[in-house]
Amino acid sequence: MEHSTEKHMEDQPGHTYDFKILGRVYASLLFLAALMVGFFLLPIQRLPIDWLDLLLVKRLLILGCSLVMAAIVAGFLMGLKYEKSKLNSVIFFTNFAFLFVFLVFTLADVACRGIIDPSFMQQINWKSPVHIDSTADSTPTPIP
Amino acid sequence: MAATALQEHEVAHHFDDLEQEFDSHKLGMWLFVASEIMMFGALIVGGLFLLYLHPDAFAQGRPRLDWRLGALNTFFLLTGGFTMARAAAFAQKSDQRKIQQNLVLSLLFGFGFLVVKTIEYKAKFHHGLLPGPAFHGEGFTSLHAHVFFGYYFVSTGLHALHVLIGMGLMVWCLILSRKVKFTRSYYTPIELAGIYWALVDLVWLFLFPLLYLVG
Repeated sequence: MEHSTEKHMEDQPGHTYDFKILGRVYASLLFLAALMVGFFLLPIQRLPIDWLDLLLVKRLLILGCSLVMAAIVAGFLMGLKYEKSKLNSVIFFTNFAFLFVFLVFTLADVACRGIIDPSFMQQINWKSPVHIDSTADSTPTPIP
Repeated sequence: MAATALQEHEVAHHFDDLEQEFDSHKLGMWLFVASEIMMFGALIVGGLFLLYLHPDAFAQGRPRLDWRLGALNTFFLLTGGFTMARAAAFAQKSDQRKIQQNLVLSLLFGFGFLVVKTIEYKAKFHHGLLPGPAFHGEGFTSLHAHVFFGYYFVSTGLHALHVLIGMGLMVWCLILSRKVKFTRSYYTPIELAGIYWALVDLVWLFLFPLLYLVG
């Protein structure tokens, strides 16, 4: 099979990268990472609101940021947005369908464990290696 | 560089043309990405269940991690992903010098990530925050405190191994670029290595908040 270099130069497979778009993608990823850390540092849970679980809201905001960042990475850095073959996108997204099935079945198990037979809640031969320290400080300092 | 002629890529005999070869390699890469997502996805979902089952362990374990080091590693990986994509973009222009510059930058950011991880691991080992029965950390009031560190070491260790493999791929691309193997029409290895590195980024974007921020 003969292939000339000229022919290859003309026929570029795949999409063409745009430096401007790459720059914007990078800037938006850094912004979202900063936003995620910002949500973490913001003491939202101390607000005087008791009808809403603010800690859960904070967690959802942080995980929401990481979801958007993941979508940007998959779309632009992995090039899923430019894929001309739909099969590749189907392969990628089918994974999440399987993960969802895994999540639902495991959640069903965890949430209902011990309801039918309480013996399922018992830990068998379980010994924790943790030595409980009753005088421990409730706010430990971070270790680098 | 000018003295070195562009190397013509020989399309493998079982492909009709370059485009078919490129598409087939990409399909193979996406299938590999799928298997990786299943593995890391299960790990991340497992982490969320551990958070649900033992919130006390995460509440006591998380403050022992330094979010600043985690954020620094996020910066390293995102910037490495950006320079890797730039390397692929320059491969399409057949600019070997810029490909190599961006690959070296990506390598440095990957190396920076591993250095930070080593610093973190060393401190954990020093304080006895080891996984499983080896755990002998002090100052905990939760019997499940070791669960958090077991999860931390398994997830970040597996991810660090992928970073190391990604760096190996970058070195391979660097060698190919030195041999002027990338042309405007053939840049498949660097494109696929870029997808792999983006996958490493993707996984970290979930591990970082799960371990350092939401515990």
